[in-house]
Order: sequence, then C-alpha cells, then structure tokens
Amino acid sequence: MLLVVASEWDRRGPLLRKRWASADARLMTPRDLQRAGWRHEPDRPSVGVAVAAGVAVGVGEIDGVCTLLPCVGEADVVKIRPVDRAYVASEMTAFLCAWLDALDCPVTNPPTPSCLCGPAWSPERWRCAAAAAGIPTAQEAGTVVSVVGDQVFGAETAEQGEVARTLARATDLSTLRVTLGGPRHAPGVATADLWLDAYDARIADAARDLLEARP
Amino acid sequence: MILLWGLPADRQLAAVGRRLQQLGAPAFLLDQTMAARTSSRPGDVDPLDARVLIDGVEVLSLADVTAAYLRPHDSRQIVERTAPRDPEAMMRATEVDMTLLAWSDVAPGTILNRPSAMTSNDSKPYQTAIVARHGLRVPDTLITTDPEAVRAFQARHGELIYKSISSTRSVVSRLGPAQLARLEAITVCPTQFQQYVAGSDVRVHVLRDDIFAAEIQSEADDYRYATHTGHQVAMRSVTLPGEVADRCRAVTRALGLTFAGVDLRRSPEGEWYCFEVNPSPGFSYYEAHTQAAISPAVARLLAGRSARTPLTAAEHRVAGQCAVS
Repeated sequence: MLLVVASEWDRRGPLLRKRWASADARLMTPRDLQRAGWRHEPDRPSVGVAVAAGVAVGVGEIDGVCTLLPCVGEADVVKIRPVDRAYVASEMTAFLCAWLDALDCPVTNPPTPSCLCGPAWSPERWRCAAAAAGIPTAQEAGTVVSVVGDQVFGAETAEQGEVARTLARATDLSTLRVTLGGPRHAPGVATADLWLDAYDARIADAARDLLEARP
Repeated sequence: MILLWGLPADRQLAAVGRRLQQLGAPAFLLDQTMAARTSSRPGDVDPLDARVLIDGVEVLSLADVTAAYLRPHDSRQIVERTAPRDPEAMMRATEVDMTLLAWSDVAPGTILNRPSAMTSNDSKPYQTAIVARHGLRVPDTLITTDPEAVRAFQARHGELIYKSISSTRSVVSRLGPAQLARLEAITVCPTQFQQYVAGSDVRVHVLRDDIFAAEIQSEADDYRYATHTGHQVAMRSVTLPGEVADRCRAVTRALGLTFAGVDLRRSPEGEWYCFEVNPSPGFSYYEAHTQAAISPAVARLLAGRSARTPLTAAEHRVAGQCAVS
C-alpha cells in the first residue's frame, strides 16, 4: 500500500491516489488525524495503527509514503473551535513529523520538524546550500527543473539537469524542484522548493518508482 | 568579530555580552529592537558574504564573523510593534531574518546554535527518538486518538502524564480521574502520553564538551510551573556520572547542537531518563540558582579560548554578577 499525505484542499492528493490505484494508494489528510484509531509508540513503531481515508491501517502494511503536506494548517482543522485551531494544527504537524520519521519504508522526502516534505528553506538558504556544495548561485530565476531520484524533468540543457541533480544529492533529497538562473550552459541555483509536480504524469510515475524501489 | 543577535533585554544574551567584554573579545550586538531600521544586502558572488545595514549604513559584514550566539525573535513581530504602518520595514526585516538564518546554518566557525538544528524540539517525539538512539533512556510514550489504547497503556505503566507534542509550552500533568472521564476528547487530535517517572529533575547544560548540571528539588509535576501549584523549587550544582555526561554530549552532538539544555530525571532506582533537549537554553535561571559559570564558558567558546581553562578569580566574580543581574 502506498500512502499519499496531503491537505484535502490539495488536488494533487486525489490525482496521485487515482494514478497509483494499482499500488493500492490511499489518501491520508489531516481529517484522518481527527478520527479515533491512531496508535504510535515511538519505541515500537511497527505495531502502530494509522488512519487513511477513514480506515485504520497497520503501519506494517504501508510500503511507501509520498508527503505533499508541508504542515497541518488551521484551514485543515475547521472542525476544531477557532481558538484551538492553531494549537491543534501544530500538534498534528509535530505528530506527523515523528510518525513519518519512524516509518520503516521509503518516505519522500523524509520530514523535518519545520516541514513535513523536507527542509523548508528560504531562497537564501538554498543558495547557501548550493554554494557549500560548490554549485554556482544566481539571483535571477529562470528555468525550473524537477528532480525525482536520478531523473530530471524540465531541463533545457544537460548542465541544468546536472546542477539540479547535484543540489538534490548534496542536500540528501530524493525529490526537489530547483529554479535555475544564469546562462543555460552554466546555470546557477536561484532557489529550490519541495513542490512535487504531480500534475506531470512523468513526475508522478517517477515518484511511484521511487517509493516502490525498496532497498 | 562575534555576533550576538537578539534583544538586549534577553538575560542570556546580556550575560554573554558582558563576559565577552570582560575578555576583550570583539563583539557586535545586532539589536532586534532596531529591526525596522535594519536591512541586509546579499553578497555579489558568495551568499555567505552578506552585509547588514542600519539606517542604510553598513554595520556588519558576515564574512568577518567568526562566531555567533543567536537568540533571535521573529523580527516581523517586532516591526509590527515598532513600525506598524511601514510595509517596507516589514519586508526588510523579513529579508534580514532570512539572510541571517541562512548564513548561520552554513557559516564556518562556532554558531550557537545552527537554526536547522534548533528545530528538533518542534516535535518532541521526533527529538526523543534521536535521543533514544544515542543512549539516553526516554520514558515509554504513546501518541494516540484511541481512548482504549490509553487505558491499555495505563494498565502497562500505572501512572501516566500527558504533554504537548509540539514545542508549544504546556504544563506537564498527571492523568487523573478527571482527565480519564473526558478521554473521548483525544479522538479529534493525537495526544501524547508518557509513563510517569518519579525522581528528581536534573537540568544539564552541555556546551560542546563541558557539562553544567543542576539538580532541582520540587514536589511539582513540572518544576517550571511550581509556584502555580503552590510548590517550592530548590536547586544545587551536581556532578553527573561519567557515562550519563558522555551520553548527554553524544545526544547534543547528534542533534547538531553545540549548546543545549538537557532535561533529565533520576529515578529512585538510579535510572536516568531524558525528557527533552532545549536547543536554545535559558540558562540564566539555573546560573542564578547555582552560580555555575555558564555564561563565562559560552563567551570563552565564542571567543575561541579554551572553555576548559580554569576561570580566574576575577572571572568567577563576574560570572556571579552576570548570574544574578
């Protein structure tokens, strides 16, 4: 079973669930965190129980997780009374971070406490990461290249693909969208983000391959 | 140049600033009360070579900074108060925060602490999983939306406490009959329960290899709020068993921190449990109660002087003044 973790306002969630139906994909939204059934013991995560699309599933049944949800926001918990929404949203985000981190299956990308999809960095921080990896940086944004595993999408030149792939590798991320600037044959990193363009069928398929490639 | 970033009224920042002055180490306080007047300029080639300006005048080149002690607040909140109708000031303040946070994550030198490492306690169970992997025992924990799971967990462990999962401060409380009666409320949000561990609290400040441990005696479930429940707090410096000290160092390193406040509890059976690691420890409270020379050690580390060199008598006196001021 593959899990797609997404806000219920994010149209990519149902899209991936449908495209990955043959892999028994299920959609998990913050609404599922407002249902009885979750059990997570950090020292024995494999015996835990999750809830996806309203149905309890054993953690051992999950083969891979694609996280499209950076954090649970107040808009995701409208059933909660307004005064408590911010607290509940931050508790749910913190829980999902620990839960995703404890899973013994591929998770794209591994969560960080500041973002469930990976590191939530500013453009400045991405440029610093690029510089630290010996990759040129650029102030002006141009071509957008998506990296999924070893594959790149959207590169106009081999150099653009290589720079994007090198940044993903240097930051230990299996999926990354990199915005490049500068000359097409000598590009620099302007910024990057964790948006997985699931509307692009090639990217969706590459992400599925990544989740199913259990080491 | 040593960068201090935050509010001058911050006790930790002020104490370290005074100690740096005593050492004669060059330091620059980037005063966040001036956030509305502060801006940044990116480096032309190297993003690490950014500049900080106040009223348009360059006051700091980040390339010159060799060490930093970071205690920042969100500059936007400060600008909201000091320049509420100035959207440009808000934009500048946001850029300054982003520039400094990005720089401090990757800059060479001693950075207390790097921002990305400081996020680990935004999810307590995420952090305690790392803590457990590096040798410190943590209380058995259950996070659930299932009231029946709580009852089963209670049957296994006896007394339980509950507390927040995120970094939102919550008073750690014991699960009593009143809470059990409304356990159905947890079905709308995962809630964290832990086995109750009796014993005395020990706060350990780890500064790279140095250890400052303070034992806290209090009858309160959460000594930080002891006065709220009519309890007293007493504190004294203690020496940790070598193995426990080593594990505190290992956990601090594993979390990517150089300076940390590790919350331990020693059970009556002599077992040591770790509850949490604070990545931006408010050490002045403990320094004031125990006279431990934490601020001098922080200053010496920032200044690149051996933190292990014994303090002079004069430095000890200043440490005491810093602690109580």
